[in-house]
Amino acid sequence: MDDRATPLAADAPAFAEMALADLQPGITARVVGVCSGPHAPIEVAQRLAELGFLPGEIVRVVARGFLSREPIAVRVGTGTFALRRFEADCVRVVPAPGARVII
Amino acid sequence: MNAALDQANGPMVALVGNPNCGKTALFNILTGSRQKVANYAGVTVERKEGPLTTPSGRRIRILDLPGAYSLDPMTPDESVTADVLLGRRDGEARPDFVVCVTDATNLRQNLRLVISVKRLGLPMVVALNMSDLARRKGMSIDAARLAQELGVPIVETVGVRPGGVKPLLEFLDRAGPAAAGPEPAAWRKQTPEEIARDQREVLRILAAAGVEDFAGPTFSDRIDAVVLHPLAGPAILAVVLFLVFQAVFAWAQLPMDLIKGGITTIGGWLATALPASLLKDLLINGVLAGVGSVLVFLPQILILFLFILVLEDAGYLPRAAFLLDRVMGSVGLSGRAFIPLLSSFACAIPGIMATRTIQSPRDRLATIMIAPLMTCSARLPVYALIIGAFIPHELVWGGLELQGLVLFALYVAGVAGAMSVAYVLNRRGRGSRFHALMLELPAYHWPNLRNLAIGLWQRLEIFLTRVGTIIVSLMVILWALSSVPLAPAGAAGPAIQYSIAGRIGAALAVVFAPIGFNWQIAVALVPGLAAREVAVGALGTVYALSATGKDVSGALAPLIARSWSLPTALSLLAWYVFAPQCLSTLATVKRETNSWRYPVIMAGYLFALAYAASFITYRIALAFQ
Amino acid sequence: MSGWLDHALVFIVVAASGAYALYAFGPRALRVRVAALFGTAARPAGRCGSCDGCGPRRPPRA
Repeated sequence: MDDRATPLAADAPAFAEMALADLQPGITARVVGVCSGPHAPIEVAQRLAELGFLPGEIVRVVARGFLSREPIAVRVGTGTFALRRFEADCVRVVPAPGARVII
Repeated sequence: MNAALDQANGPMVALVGNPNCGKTALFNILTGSRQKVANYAGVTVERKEGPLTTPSGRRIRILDLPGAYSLDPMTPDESVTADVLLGRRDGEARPDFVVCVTDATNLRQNLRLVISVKRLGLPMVVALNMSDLARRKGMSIDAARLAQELGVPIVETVGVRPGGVKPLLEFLDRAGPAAAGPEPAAWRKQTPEEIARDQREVLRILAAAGVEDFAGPTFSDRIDAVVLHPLAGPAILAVVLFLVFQAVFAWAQLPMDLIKGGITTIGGWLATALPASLLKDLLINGVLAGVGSVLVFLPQILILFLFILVLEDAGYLPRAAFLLDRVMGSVGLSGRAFIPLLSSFACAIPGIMATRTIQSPRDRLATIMIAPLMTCSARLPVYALIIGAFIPHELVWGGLELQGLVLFALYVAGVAGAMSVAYVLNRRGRGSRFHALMLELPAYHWPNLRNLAIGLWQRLEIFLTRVGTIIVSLMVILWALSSVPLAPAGAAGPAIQYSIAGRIGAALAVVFAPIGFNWQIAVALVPGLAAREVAVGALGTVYALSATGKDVSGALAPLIARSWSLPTALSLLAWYVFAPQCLSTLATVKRETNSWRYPVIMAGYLFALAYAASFITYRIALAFQ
Repeated sequence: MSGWLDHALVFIVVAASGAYALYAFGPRALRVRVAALFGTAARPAGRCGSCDGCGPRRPPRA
C-alpha cells in the first residue's frame, strides 16, 4: 500500500506523518492512509478503511484509556470509533491543527 | 415455505445499511413487529422477515438484515447481509428490491455502502433515516439533488415515529418493486484504494447536494469528554451500576408487597371457598404457592430492565465497553465481547447470539463460553428471594442498602468468574495478544419514551407468559410427583417425604450435603434446570407441601429464613452464580457452535465451578458461624 | 365434591401440564408438528425468560 498518498490539502507541510495511536487528544489530523501494522494483518487496515479512515478525512482523538493509553476513541468524519492501540497503529495521519471538515 | 407461497406473499424488499442507522426501527413500523432496537451497532444479527400490505393493498415481504459497513463481511452477522444481497445464501433468492437505509446525520460514512449496493444492480431506493435529527442539527439536505447525483431515488424517513415511514410506503406503492431484478453484477473484494475512490465520489455528491457537516466538537463529544474521561469515566460507570442495584431493592418494595398481599388474599379465598379435596391441594400448594413465589419478583425485574433500556437507548452501553476495554483485553477477550456479555445480563441466549458480531472465531467461542456467567434476569428471583430472607434490610456506610450491596456483589462475582475463565481459556489456547475492538460509539440521544414503554411491556408479557405456561405446568407436575405415592398410614412427618419427588430429593441430597443443601433444595434444582426462576417456584411448592397443615402461599421467604442456616443460603447463592441451570442456553450454544462439544464442556465446567464455589462458601461460612 | 370427580379433575390438570412440558422442552420435531396443527410458527425450546433474539414475539400484523 502507498503510505505517501497525497493529503487533499496542502495545509500541513510543517508536521510529520505519524501513527494515529500517537496522536494527542484534541488535536485534529488528516488521514494519509491505512497500512498493515506490526500486530495487525491487512484485513485490519481494510476494515479501518471501510469504517471511514480514508485519505483526507479529519480525525481527532476524543478520549484515551487510563495508564495504558488504550483504547482510543477517535472521531473520524461524522462518526466515533473505539480502537485498540494495535489498530490505531495502522492509520497514518498528519496533524492539521484547526482543520474542520467543510465539504 | 415453498416458492409458490413466497410468490403469493409478494416481492421481497431488503433493508440494508450501516450498523445503527435504524433499519430495525423502520422494519418494526413497516411490519408491525416488535424486534429489539437500541442505540448501538449490532443489535440485529439475523435476517428477519415480516409482511407488509401497502396502502393500495400490494403485498410485500420486508427483510431486515444485520447492519454492515461494507459488502466484504468481517463478522458472521455481516456475512448474512452480504450473502443475501449477492444471492449466495442457500435456498434463498436475491431480494427483488433494496431499501438502502442511511443515517442522515452520518452520510459521509453511510453513502459508501449505498454506492456499493448500487453496483449490485438491484432496483433500489435510499431512505434518509433520522431526517428529523439532521434537520434539528441544522443540516440542510437537498434530497432531490442528492437523488440526482446518486442516480437513485431518495425518500426521507423517521424511524421512531409511526408516521415517519409514510414517504417510503408511498414510494413502495407507487414505484413498486420490479417483479424480477436483473442478473447480479459480479462482486469482488474492494481494496482500500477503491474505498478511497468511493469516498471521493461521496464527498463530491455531498458537496453538490449542499450537505455540510463539521468535525468540530458536537453535543456527543462534550458528553464523551466527561463520560470517557480516564478518571471520571470509570467513576461514573460505577455509580450508575451501583444505583441500578440499589433501585432494584429500594423501589420494588411497595409493588412487591401489593403482589404478595394479592396472592395471600387469593389463597385465603380459595382455602375457604373450596371443600377439602385433592384439587384444592393442587391449586393452593401446587399452583399458587409455586407461581406466587415467582410472581413477586416481577417489579424487581421490570426495574432492572427499565435501567438497561434507558442506558441502551441513550447510547451509553458502547461507552461502558470503551471504559472496560482494558479489563477485557487483559484477559484476552475481544473488545466486541462487551455488548454480547452485557446482553447476557438480560438472558444468555440473546447474548450468545450477539457474539456473531465478533470477527475472530476463537474470540467468539471464548465469549460464548463465559456468557452464562453473566447474571441473567432469571437469576434475579433466586437472588432476591435468598437476600430478602437472610440479609437484613438495613443501611450501611451512610445510606447504602445492604441488600442492594449484596446483590451488586453477586453480579460482580459473576463478572469476576467470567474474567477468570476467559483468562484461563486464553492462556490455554495461547490466543493472540491482539484482539479486535473497532467499536462504533454512536451519538447520544434522549431515550424514546415509546420505545421504553414497549420494551417494558414486552418484559411484562414475556414474564407473565412464562409464569402462565412453563412455570404453572412444571409446578403442577412437581406437585403430582410430590403427592404420589401417598404417605403410609400413621407416618410421621409430611407426606412429601414418601413421594417420588421426596425420594429423588433424598437421593440427590447425598450429593449436595457437602455444600449444605437440604433435600428440599435438591428437589427444587431439578425443575430449575428448565429455567432458573422455576427453582423459586419449586421451593414454594415443596415447602408448601412440607409444612403440615398451614397455608403458606406467598410467604416463602420467612419460611426458608426459619429452616435454612445462613451457610446454606450463602452456598445456594454461590451455586447460582455459576451453575448452568438453563437447558435453553445449552441448546443455543449447540446451535451457534454447531457441535455438541461446547455445550458439554460448558455444562461440565460450570457445574464443577458451582460445586467448588458452593463448597468453599459453605465451609467458610460454617467456620465463621 | 365427589371423590371420583376430584380425582378426574386433578388427573386432567396434571396430564395437560405434562403434555405442555413435553411440548415446550421436548424435541423440536414435536413442536413443528404441533405448530403445523395450529398453523403457527414453531418456537425455540423453552424460550428464555427475557429472550431478545428468537424471532418476532408476536405474529407481525399484515
